[in-house]
Amino acid sequence: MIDVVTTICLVILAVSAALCVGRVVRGESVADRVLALDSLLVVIVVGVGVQAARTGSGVYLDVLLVVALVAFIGSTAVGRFIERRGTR
Amino acid sequence: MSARTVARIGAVVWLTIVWCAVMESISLGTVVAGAVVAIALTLLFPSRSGNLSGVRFRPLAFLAMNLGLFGDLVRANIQVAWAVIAPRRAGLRPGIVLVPLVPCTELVLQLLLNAVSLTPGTLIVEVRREPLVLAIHVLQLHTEAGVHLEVLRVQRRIVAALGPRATLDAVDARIEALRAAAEHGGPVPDLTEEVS
Amino acid sequence: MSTAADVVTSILLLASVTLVLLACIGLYRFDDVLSRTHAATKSITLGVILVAAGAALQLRDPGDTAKLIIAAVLQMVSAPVTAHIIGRAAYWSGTDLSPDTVVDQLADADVDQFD
Repeated sequence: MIDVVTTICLVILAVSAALCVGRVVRGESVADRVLALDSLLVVIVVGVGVQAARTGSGVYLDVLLVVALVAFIGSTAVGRFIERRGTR
Repeated sequence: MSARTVARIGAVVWLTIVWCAVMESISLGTVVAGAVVAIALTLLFPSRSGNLSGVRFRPLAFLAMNLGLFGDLVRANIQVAWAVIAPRRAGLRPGIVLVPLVPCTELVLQLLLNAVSLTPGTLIVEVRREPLVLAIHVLQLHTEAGVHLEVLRVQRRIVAALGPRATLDAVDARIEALRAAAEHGGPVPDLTEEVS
Repeated sequence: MSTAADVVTSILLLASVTLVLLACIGLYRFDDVLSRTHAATKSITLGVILVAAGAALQLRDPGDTAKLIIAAVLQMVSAPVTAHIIGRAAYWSGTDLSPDTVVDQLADADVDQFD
């Protein structure tokens, strides 16, 4: 049962990731793009979590932690940059 | 032992636990290495929590605060899900409101900023320190007083768990003043300068 | 043959993934950056917490559970900060607000008083 459910979850996450990428491409401002990229990274985090649930092994959990950290630091860095420069 | 030392030791303990969890071992070498890294980090980046003298700790209220925070997060998600699915024009009236805050300790303020961002429909845009004012972006703005009351409700929960009695009374007084003003339909009253 | 843990995990994972999907749809449905930030950060935070809970039930090693708890706590602490910084950057860099915006008291206030 876990296999079926996690497959469905991963498909939904793939759709979510595609939506995020679409927003990165289309985004009307840099802040939009930063938000979409942060969301994309968190989709990856959730994806790793689903995969961990599927296999029952915690091999990739380090990846999960690092991606979550990078998402936070990256978004903060770009956010501060935009604030100073005020680009569109 | 001052509150600041307790906080520092707590930070070192927590960081060492995180180190051991990530390294997946609790052998002596790992713990010592973790402690060394933790102490180095704590010294290199001192916390800006400022004056910790006003902090109390009330366990029951602390538990209530955490449960309330989680409940708020769930309610926020329901509201957002509704706004995305349902005809969105029906509900969305975005707006930015300036909310003056009852002065409180730095710790309460930091928790408040985090908690307000997770409350249904509110998001912090700006923080001003002297005087203490928040600029909050609201998804569904019905009344200005409603936003003020929402922030006060969150602040009350946090101060009840971690703040001095005087601040709690000040928050309650402000809530009363807002409710009274709302009854008469008047504008939002200014923050009275009675809290030291 | 599914155990109770499997059922609970399935529910948690499906709920989490639905929230993430709603957050990403929200990126399109809302008019301006600030509103999109609401959807993205709140839904995603709860989504990460739920998936961490769901995965923790399936893992055999307690060390992995600790990592998941740390990830969930990290997400819950960092998401509001990210939302605030993105929102602040978007506002001061002059992005257009939604045409529905009712009140903008921030525009009237003095700019220099904010740090």
